[in-house]
Amino acid sequence: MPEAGTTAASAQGAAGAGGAKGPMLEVRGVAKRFGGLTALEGIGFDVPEGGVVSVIGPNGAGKTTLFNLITGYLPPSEGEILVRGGSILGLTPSRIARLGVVRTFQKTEVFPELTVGRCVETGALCGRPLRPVRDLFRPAEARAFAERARARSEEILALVGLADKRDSLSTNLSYGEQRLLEVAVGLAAEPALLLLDEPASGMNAEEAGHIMSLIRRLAERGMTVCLVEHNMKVVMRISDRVVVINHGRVIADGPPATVARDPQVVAAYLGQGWADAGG
Amino acid sequence: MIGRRGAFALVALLLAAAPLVLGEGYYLHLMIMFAIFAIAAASLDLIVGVAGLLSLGHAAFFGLGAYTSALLFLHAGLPMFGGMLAGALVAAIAAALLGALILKVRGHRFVITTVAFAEIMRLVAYNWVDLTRGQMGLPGVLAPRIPVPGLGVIDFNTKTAFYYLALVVAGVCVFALRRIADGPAGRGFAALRENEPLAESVGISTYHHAIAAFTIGAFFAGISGSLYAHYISFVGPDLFYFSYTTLFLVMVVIGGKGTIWGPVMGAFAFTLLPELLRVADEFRLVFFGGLLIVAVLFFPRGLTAGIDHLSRRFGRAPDATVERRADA
Repeated sequence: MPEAGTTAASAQGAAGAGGAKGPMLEVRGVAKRFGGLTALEGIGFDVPEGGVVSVIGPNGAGKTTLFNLITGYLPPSEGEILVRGGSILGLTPSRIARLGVVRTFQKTEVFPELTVGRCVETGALCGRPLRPVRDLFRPAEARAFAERARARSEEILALVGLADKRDSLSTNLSYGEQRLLEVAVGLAAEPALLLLDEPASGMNAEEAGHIMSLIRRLAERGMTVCLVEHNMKVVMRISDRVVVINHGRVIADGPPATVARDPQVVAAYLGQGWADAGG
Repeated sequence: MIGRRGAFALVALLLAAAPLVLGEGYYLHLMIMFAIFAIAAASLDLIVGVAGLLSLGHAAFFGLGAYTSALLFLHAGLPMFGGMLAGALVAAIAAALLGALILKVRGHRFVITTVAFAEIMRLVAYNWVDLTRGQMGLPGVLAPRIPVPGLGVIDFNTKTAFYYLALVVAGVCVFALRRIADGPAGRGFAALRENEPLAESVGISTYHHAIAAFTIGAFFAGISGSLYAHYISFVGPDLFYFSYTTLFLVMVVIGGKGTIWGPVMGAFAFTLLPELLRVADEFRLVFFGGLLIVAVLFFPRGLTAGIDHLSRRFGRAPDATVERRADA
């Protein structure tokens, strides 16, 4: 995949040039311990603006924990996490989301009693200040916001392919559709960096293909996407860069083609079969 | 079918005509209590039904509104509308401060703290005798006399006059609560109720939304308490009793959580039903309890959902079903 390789190289070049604001995401020497158990140790990598970065590794390698640290759901035991050059340590997940870092969950999360359309419109609340009294006395403003949220949700539902499910209850969707809905809710928050935790898990081949092309399209629109994924076909095809974690440490970081040939990665995760097949 | 607007107009007309039918008697008193409790129930619904925070201390804000209003009337001569605003603000500030302390972590700790807060308020009212006269309470909280150009001074000391006053105040409060629940803030509250981690992930601060819902709910409970004080003309520590909280909660649950209008219907049912059951004498509490169980079993989502369901099933206008249930 020469095309993906050059994208990653140029993106890294841009980050290396050091924009005033720094890269989209910097993870520096991050460690997380749960009691005596070390989940992550000395994790460090950058995510430049634009492109798709995948974090892979065996089960229990600490990928989801890493996402929880980046999005503020857990505090790191050590190290620093910066978004566009600013530290996010101590911020709540909602503050981090308003900085443009939005995540989805490994275990699908939706708003169960809301319709699909309303779920996505709820995501559009991101960045709007909470001001119930003002809204009470200026209903036109509140209505205009609701209109915009509705228009945006329609656009996003069309993008992810759920336009015809708009009025269904979110819990009445199939599992794969719920995963797509969760991505749609995240997109409504207009993220600069979208973190997807195993977006293709539990999906059939068709749905997985669909979400792959969706992720690529988002990247083409300039969004930075970071994903944890087990489906290696997905990872190798859509990533510009792959970060491999094993036993809580980064063991490889580079373009997918290079990482796939890394002996450590083959031994820890991919297996000899993958390397022989020329993946 | 008469549609939503028609049903609304019909109900408004019936409510406006109530004094003509009921006269100045006991039933008009019940209608006034309905209007007062409707505000309390609808305001609790914003907290419990819309935002999903199980507050068991709503009586605290109802009582704070009543006491604030009564004290300002007795000591500073502040008439009802001023007291109402002051009572609402005191209740809202208390809720905001309490919420800032306890709403970081929601769940059972919040629930228990709200119960404790109402009990503490009751003990303060009971023991701060210099200010509240303790158990003796504060009598003489008069209804307002409002000068109206052309009509002279209207004394709201009659049941009919106070009924219209309470009805208008309740209408405005319920309308405001409904608009908040339907607006952007209400959508954030619903997100908090539905899925906290997901709400946080799209930038909705669950902490701030929880405080906002709790504070707004308390504000309107304060208005309700103030109305109560000026109608009954007496406040005492009993206002902080847990039984008021449970009454409001039953109105919310039976009426239909999260709809604002549902709890208003719940308030109607639970202000009048106990009286209609009076014919059954001592069996009425048994009937009352039985009805509660039946309602929870067959209308788990409340009267509003139950009526929608029944009207769809029998193809009747919603109002016809209301009548049928009220007769039953």
